[in-house]
Amino acid sequence: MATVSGEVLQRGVRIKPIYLIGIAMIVLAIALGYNGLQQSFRPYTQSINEAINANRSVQLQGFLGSKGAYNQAGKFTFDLQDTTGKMVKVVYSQAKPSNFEQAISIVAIGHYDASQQAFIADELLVKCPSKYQEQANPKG
Amino acid sequence: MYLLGTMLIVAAIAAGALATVSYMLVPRGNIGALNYGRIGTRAALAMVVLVVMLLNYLFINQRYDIDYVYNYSSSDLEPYFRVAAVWAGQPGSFVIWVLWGLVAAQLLIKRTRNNEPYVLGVFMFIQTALLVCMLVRNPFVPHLDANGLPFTPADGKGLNPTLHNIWMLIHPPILFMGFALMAVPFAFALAGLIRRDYDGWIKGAMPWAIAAWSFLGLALLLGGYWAYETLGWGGYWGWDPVENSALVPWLIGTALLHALLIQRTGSGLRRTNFAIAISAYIAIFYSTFLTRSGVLSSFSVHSFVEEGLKGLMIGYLVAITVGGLGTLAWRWRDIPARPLSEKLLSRDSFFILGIIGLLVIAALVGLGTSMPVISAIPGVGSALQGFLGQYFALDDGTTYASAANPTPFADGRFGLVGSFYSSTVPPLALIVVLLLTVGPLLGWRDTNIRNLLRSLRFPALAAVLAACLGLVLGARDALPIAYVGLCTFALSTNLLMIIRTIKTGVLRLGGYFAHVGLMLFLVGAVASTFYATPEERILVPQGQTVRVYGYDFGFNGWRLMADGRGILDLTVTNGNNVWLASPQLYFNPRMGATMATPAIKSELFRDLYVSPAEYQPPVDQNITDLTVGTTKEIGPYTFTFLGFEVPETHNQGSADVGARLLVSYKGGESSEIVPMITLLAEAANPEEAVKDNPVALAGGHTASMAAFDPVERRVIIRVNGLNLPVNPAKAVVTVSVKPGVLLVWMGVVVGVFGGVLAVLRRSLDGRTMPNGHRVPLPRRIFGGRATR
Repeated sequence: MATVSGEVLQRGVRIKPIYLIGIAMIVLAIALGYNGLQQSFRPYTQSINEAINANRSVQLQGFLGSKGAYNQAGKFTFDLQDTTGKMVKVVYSQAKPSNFEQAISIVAIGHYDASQQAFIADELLVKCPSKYQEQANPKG
Repeated sequence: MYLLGTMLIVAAIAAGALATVSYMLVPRGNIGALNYGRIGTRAALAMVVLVVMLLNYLFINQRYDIDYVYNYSSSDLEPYFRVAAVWAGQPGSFVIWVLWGLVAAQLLIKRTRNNEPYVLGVFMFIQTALLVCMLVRNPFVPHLDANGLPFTPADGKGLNPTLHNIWMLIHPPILFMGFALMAVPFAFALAGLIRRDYDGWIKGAMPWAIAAWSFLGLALLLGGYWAYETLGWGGYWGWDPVENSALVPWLIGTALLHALLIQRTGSGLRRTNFAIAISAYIAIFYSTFLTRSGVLSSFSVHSFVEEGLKGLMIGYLVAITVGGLGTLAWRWRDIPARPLSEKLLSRDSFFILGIIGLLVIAALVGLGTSMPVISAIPGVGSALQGFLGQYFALDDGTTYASAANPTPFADGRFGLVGSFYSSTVPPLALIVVLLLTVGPLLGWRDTNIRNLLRSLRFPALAAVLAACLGLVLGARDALPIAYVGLCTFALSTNLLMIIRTIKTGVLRLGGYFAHVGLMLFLVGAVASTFYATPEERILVPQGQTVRVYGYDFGFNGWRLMADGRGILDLTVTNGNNVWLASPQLYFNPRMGATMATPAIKSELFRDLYVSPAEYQPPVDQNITDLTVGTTKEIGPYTFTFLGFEVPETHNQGSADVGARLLVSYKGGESSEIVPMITLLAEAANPEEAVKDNPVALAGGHTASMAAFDPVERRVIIRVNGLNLPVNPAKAVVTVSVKPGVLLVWMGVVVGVFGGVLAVLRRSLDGRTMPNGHRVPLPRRIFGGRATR
């Protein structure tokens, strides 16, 4: 059992293995983080044109352009309108979110599908004027 | 009540301020102020207890003239939920947070001795700041109508159904206990800095830090269990900003415990400990800022919207950061460094690597969660998008630069999806697991390698066996197999330490139990993340069975409960095992949404998760439902509803209603028919009140009008004599099999048990006898390794 009594640590002179391992862990974290940023980036936009041209998952914020309804396939659909007045059909595979009618603003998370000419939403964030907007998380 | 409640809050703020100022005066020689500090602390608690009682009174007596009561309760709410509704909303969550903080303050008065003015000075300052939040988000504000006049609604809006379950009673108080207690190590650290007592604060802070850590961990578990078991989100963890923002303080807290332990056993890390203790509380406040200031409301499914606290929260965050780190910077050069072990194979070194690992994970999770906030800073979001732009991966696998329109998004903000965390955290956490496979067997300063290798034989064997078992069970990816192997290794190592240490007292086992719990948790988490089956959507007609994932699902029927909840009665058979699954599905008119509660069958290694999607009532094929202008088929006939016909018959006491229909038989020529019903006003009995006048059809059957709705302009037409089968009712459910979920819950429970042991031990450790002697805890700790 070694003790360190009387031993004086000389700071920063020798490179100890623990430093190397510690630095390696931090470098690994930075590399993973950088890689993760590229893969998992999801931009926020208030323009339907941008969302259509994005070719990737986005968070599209807009306003209700129509009442929601279930289509023949049982999917919940409605029109989303942006500040320029442009509309896009949104198709949502989950049940109609709570407080949908009272929404003052809606954030649809998903991507634009050119073949269906609709924005396919995986999640909807409904913002209501009420006290706070907690709703069932579709994915958990 | 508004006046009384506000007065109580103001009185609590005054008491808190009195305590803070008095405690600050004590070190300047004003010994008498100590009493005022204590009086202020006690009075603040008394006021907050009165606030809680008043809120309870208002909720129980259904005082809907109070806005908070109106928003979170209703007459049909059970009494105990009226109590829990106190913390359902943002104002109430501050109440419960401050309540726990002030309860802790009373204990601190007893436990801090000559540290009291410093620790409580800082601590009461924080409580006073929280009380101000409580005043800003005053829960006693009266309900106002559209014109801004006080108005008492007949009934409340009711508790949000997602909150209307048992976990609502348990989860928030435990979470806020963790939040409140994390302020104690912070206060001790600042007291240590101010008093230039760079080692002594550790002893006092330690039990509190462990308690805060345990409560936070338990709260994370309960939140996950709530989501999984009741809300039917399908998982227990979604890397949502709200979840992450509670995970970050927990990770920093874990690092803090280990760093405190190093210093406690005689080594260095003095400055590091101050930095981590301060950061842990900054993380708590930052978490509160993220979830309550509304900055994430476009990015998280369950964060609060902006409610006027943003400026205050930013102010507090800056105050705590500048105050904490500034004090540390002020004393930085005064803190003497102490050497750590030079040896890599020592607890000192392994602890430090583990601490780095935990802090790095916390930093990544914190950074990812903050991305919406960071990118919202003007210019930063666009710059980051521009900088990373050409590398952003698109959904089709190409990069953003190669896309048709690679201009950055006008609104610079962006968030990160869950894959950011699931791709970065597991590899780093694996390093921490690796450290735990050997670390507990090491001595603090040095280790005999021969003994170490001998001790590692059985854990290593267990690891190989577990990895092989994983392979046999079908695991093929490197990361899960590495996890199963290394977690088993670390679990065995810690079990070995438990066996070796148990004779010196159960209280010494806290850390090992926490490690065992973490390993169980990680194996469960990896299994359920990598090997959960996809959610299979099945349609089960009544009286038939559908087979999915080796289970036979039979649908017995739909039951409607008195409270309006519908239950899908399913029988699930797996060999000889029969299980009745009753997932619930109900429409909540207040929320305008359908709520679903899953049915879960937990086995040791896997959960069968049955989520209700829909109930389809039985369909009688002999009838059809038509609005004006629509065309539908019944068997060989095609009907088009043209409109109602009400002939001008003037028989006394009766009226005829007919439906004009175009009908064609087997696609042949259309002809018009008018089936009628006659309503008799003076019928002898109800059955005779409606008389059916069927019309003959081309195929030899008859058509009658079964029912009509003049408002909706709708009729129901029945064809008699066809005798088509009635389609049975159907249950639509999604089914998935999730392995290892039970291990997740078990792991957290074992880990928290370890935390409780550690709190007891460290709290005995820090206690001194009245005559000044230490409580006789054995000096040798951690299984006979040398300590100082």
